[in-house]
Order: sequence, then C-alpha cells, then structure tokens
Amino acid sequence: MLNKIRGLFSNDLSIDLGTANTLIYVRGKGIVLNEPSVVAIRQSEGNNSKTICAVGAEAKRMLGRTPGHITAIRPLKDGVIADFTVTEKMLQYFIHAVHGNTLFKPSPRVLVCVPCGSTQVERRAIRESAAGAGASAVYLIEEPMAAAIGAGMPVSDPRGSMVLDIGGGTTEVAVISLNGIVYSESIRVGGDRFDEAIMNYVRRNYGTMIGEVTAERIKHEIGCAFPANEVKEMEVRGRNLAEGIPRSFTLNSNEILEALQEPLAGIVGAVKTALEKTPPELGSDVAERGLVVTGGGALLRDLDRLLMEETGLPVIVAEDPLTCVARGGGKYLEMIEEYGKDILSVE
Amino acid sequence: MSETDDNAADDVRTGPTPGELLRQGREASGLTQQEAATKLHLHQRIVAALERDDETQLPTPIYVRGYLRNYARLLDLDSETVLAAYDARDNQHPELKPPVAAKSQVSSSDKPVRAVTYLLTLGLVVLLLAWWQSRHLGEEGLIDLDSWQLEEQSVEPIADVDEPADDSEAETVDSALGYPIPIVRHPGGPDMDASATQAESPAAATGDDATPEQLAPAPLTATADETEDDSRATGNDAGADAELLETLPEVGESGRGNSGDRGLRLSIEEESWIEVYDADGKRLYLGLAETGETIRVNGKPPLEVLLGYAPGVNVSYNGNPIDTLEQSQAGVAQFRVGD
Repeated sequence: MLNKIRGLFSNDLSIDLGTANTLIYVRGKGIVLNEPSVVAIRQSEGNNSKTICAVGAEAKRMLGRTPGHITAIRPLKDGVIADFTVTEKMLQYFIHAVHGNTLFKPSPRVLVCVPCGSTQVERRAIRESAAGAGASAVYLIEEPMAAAIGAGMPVSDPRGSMVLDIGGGTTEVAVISLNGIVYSESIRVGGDRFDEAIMNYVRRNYGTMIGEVTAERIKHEIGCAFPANEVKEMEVRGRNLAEGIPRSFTLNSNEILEALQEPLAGIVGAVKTALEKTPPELGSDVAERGLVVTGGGALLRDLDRLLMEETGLPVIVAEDPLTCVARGGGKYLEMIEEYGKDILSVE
Repeated sequence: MSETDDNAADDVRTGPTPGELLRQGREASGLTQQEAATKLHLHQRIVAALERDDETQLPTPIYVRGYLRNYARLLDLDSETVLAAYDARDNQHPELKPPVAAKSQVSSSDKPVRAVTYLLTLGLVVLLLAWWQSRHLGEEGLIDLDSWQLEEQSVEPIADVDEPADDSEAETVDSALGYPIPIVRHPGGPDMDASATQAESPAAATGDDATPEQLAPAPLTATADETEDDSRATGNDAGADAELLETLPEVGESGRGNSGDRGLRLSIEEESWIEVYDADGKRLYLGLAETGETIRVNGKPPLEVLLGYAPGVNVSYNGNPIDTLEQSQAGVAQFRVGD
C-alpha cells in the first residue's frame, strides 16, 4: 500500500550502466536518457580539488581534446566500475537529470544491469555507487537477462533462448529458460575492443595514430564483420608517426574487416563455447529458433551473417539493440509491481 | 484451409502479406524453398510457414521479424516493406506472449500468507487454551456435582450420627469418593424438625417404593428418638406419607439402641479395595479401605458390594453379619445385600 502511494510520487529507474553509454528507462515513460558514460573533471589550480565539469555527450566531445586541467574519463571499463567516485558522481548527475527535483519526491528505486561475469566486489561497487547517487533501493539484474526481456524473447517459456549482448566493454552470451539463466559467459570484448583493434590496425598498416573517437566513427561508417559485395570507403585523418604531421588516407571496409578479426573471433568463440556447454534440450531449441543479438555491437554490419556462417544457426538482430538492456530492466521494474520481485533472480 | 481463407480475407483489406511478398521474391529469384531454408539456416518447415503466414508454426514475433528481415535480405527485397506488412498483420492478430510469465507464485514469505499463518496459529493456541480450560472446569464441575450429591446423601447418615447412642463410629463415614463427609451436627434436635430433614432426603422422595428398612435412614430414627411427637405432628400437618408414619414407630422400635447398625457396615481388618453401589447404580463407596477402618454405607437397597480382599473385611447389614467368604473367589467377593 505504502509502495503504491510512494510510486505516485517517485519514478523507478532502470539503468543500463554501460562502458560506452548509460541509458535510463523510467517506468511508464520509456527511455529518457541515453548518454555516453564519460565524465570530464576539472582540476582547480590553487587547491587540488576536483570538480565535475561535464557529463555525458558534452564530456564525450571533450574526450581526447582536453586541456591540461580537464580530464575526460570513462569511469567504467570492461563493464565494471574502474573509478568508483566518478561513477557515483555520474550516476548522481543522470538520476538527477531524469528524476528532477527531489524535494517532494522520494528517492527512486533503481535497477542496475550488471555483466554476468562481474565479481561480487564489482557488484557491490555498482550497488553502493547507485545508493550513493540517491537510490532508495538498488536491484541488480544480469545484463543478458535484461537484454532478452528487452528484445521480447520468450524468457519465461520452458524453451532455450540464446541471447548475445555485445556491449561497449563486454560481450555476454547466455541461454535462458523459465526466467532464469541456464548458462552464461562474459568475455571482455566489446565495442571498445573493436575501436582499439581499428586504431592498432591503422597504426600498423598506415603508420598513423588515430583517436578513439575517430576509430569509433570508422567502425560505425564502414565497419563490417563479413565480406560484402559492396566495399565502402572512408577518408580518415590521423597523425603520421613517421612524419609527425597529420595525414589523410582512405580506409575501406575490407581493411576494417581484417582489423576486427581478432575481437570478432573472440565473440564467435564465446558463442561456440556456449553452444557446446548448453544442455542438449535447450541446445536443440536454440538451433531451431536461433540466437538473438542485442547491444551496440549488433549494429556492426553483417555481424549476424558472420555468426550465421560460423555457427550454422539462424541469427536475429533485435529491434533497437542499443536500448534492449535498459528496456528489459524497465519491463522487469513494471513486472515487480505486478508479480513481486521473485519472478527473476535479482540481487 | 480456413486459415488460408482468413489470410485471403486479410489480403483484401491490407494488400500483400509478408508471406506472399517473400514467396513472389523467392520465385522471381528462382530459389526453391529448400534452398532458401539452407541459406537462412532455418528449417524448411519454418520457411514454408513464413510464406504461408501460418503463425501457429512460427515462434514469437521477435524471431519471426528476424527471419523475415533475413529472408528479405537474401532475396534483395526491401526488408522494411516486408516487416511493415508483417506488423500490419501482427496488429490484427496480437498473439504476443508476455516476456515474463504472468504466474504469481504464492510464497511462504509473502505478507498475506504469513499473516494468515500467524492468525491460524493464534487461533489454534486460543482453541487449545479454551479446550484445556473447559476441560479443567468440567472436571471441577463434575467433582462438585458428585460431592454435592454425596453431601446430600450423606447428610442423612450424619444426621443419625447426631444420635447420642452411637456417635463414635458414625463420624468416620466416608463419602464414596473418599471425600470426608461434612458432619452436620444438630445438637439442638428441635432446631431441625423431622419433616424438614425428611423432605430433603431421597429416601423420603422415593418413599413409595421403599421398604421399611429403606425408609429407616438414620435421620428419621435420629430425630424420631428425640422428637417423635414433633415429627408425628409435622408429619400429619404436612400430610406426610402414611407409610412413613407407620414405619416411624417401627424404626423407632427396631432401631432403638442399635440404630448405628442400620445399613451396611464394613469393618476392615486388613486393607481391602471396596466398591459399593446402590440399587440405582449410584456409587456409594469406592476406594482402598485402611486396616482398622469402619465404613458405614447407607443407600437404596439392594446394595452391590465388591470386596477386593474379602477375608479382611467383616460385613454386616442392618446388624446381621454376612459371610462373604462363601461368595469370594480368590479373595475377591462380589455380592448383593438387602434384597
């Protein structure tokens, strides 16, 4: 009863605290925030105190372009918190941005998605960081489960559903049946590793340094995971290591495909391992219906074809894969009111 | 077949179905269903169902949309067109399953369940207490009733205990349950007239059936001795039974001097279990009598007597000794007196 009254004034939030982007889903409103998980910190000259200068998209624009007294950092690495204080500040900022004035509103209940491979220490850090950011109660849900719910997979059926969530820092593969995770695996390969691989490739093959942001842009524009008939090209500028001056050169999609081979092999390997370790009944369900890819990595062109060729399974890219996890968390929050929080195993 | 008809009806309303679009595309590209299925890594059954728009054979929409998109891409069709056609159909047949089962499981930790459990437990405890209380009270009540009856009954012999002639042993009379009988003394006999005592006595109440011996309860004799005239007078006044009036002198004569021998007299020489019941089956005495004890029992004859150790008990009825050894078997004697 009290909870219902409380619910009138408070908004429960589902947060996908990702390495690359943080998304917040407000119950009843949908996705209200989608910002890069970047914080810019200004260091005062006189005393050594640090203040938050910018958060989100604004801070991301500063990434790699900051003067000495400003540091733009990504407080999460590989799906978990790398800098506790900054993460807390970032969450505080985001929660305040969506929850508004807290004078008359009680603190929201917050559901945070965590990678299934995260340790207890990492989970505790996320929980405390969310609590410190003003959450009255913190629930943790494993990312593949949230992703599967968000994608609209029939997770409550007694049938195996395989989901592959390629995030910024981690890739999670899980087999879900009856609202629970039967098998899950998390590898520290994700969008960031793609960017890194592109940077390394360009440095190796062109002797040119490019930044993270450029690498990400290359990935978005011409990145692909499977040889396509159509070859895309893109002009890129970077600092030539030999000459020390910026140079412009052209990259094509086949080169990027070559650059991405290593992280892609990691992902394919994880899927194959999952299929190998899935109980046979569930494995046959997965083989019949296929696997669903969510997360920002799913937007990499022809990734589904690569997985289809490698595994021989039908592969489906979820609708709006970037927001699946946050939407799934949101759906779960809505279910909590109706069925209690025991429908899934959350912490 | 009816499904096909339905589909055809839908076609009229919404244009080509996704299945139709795909089938036309596949035929145009010269692929067979089997080839398409192999390229899509799908079972041919699913490809056929996609082309038939047979949703019963297809999994949940997320998969179907994925298959449609992949199929459209394979056939170089515009996947958005196919998906739009599917969405149009899907809206007409919203067979979406909830992503999370709508099963609410009652858990023992749920608040209502816990409340009910506590209430039930409390109720049981209250019931248990109530039962225990009532049982306890009931027992007391029974005892009260018994003792009340005994008192009522034993007032008579005690009234005769007042008799100056024989008050040495009379005071030792015990109740059937071993309760000491309250000894009611009426030192000033005239205070309680005979008719009053008589009226209270069951013997008087059953006077019609009673023999003179039965009607010789001690009170009558006791009071008769002292207030014979009064009792006669009150007997007449109260319209007392003629029988009673007749027996009074008799009782007076026979009982005079040895009225203490009226009824059953058991003098215990050795410890013995004794049970005495009257004609109505009412228990007059039950218990282990100690050595040296003398028990007097008055009641409606015939009296049913059981002696646990007959050789150790001397029995006399109305002053006449009874040989119990004849009726005893292995020391236990059961007999009837006052027939």
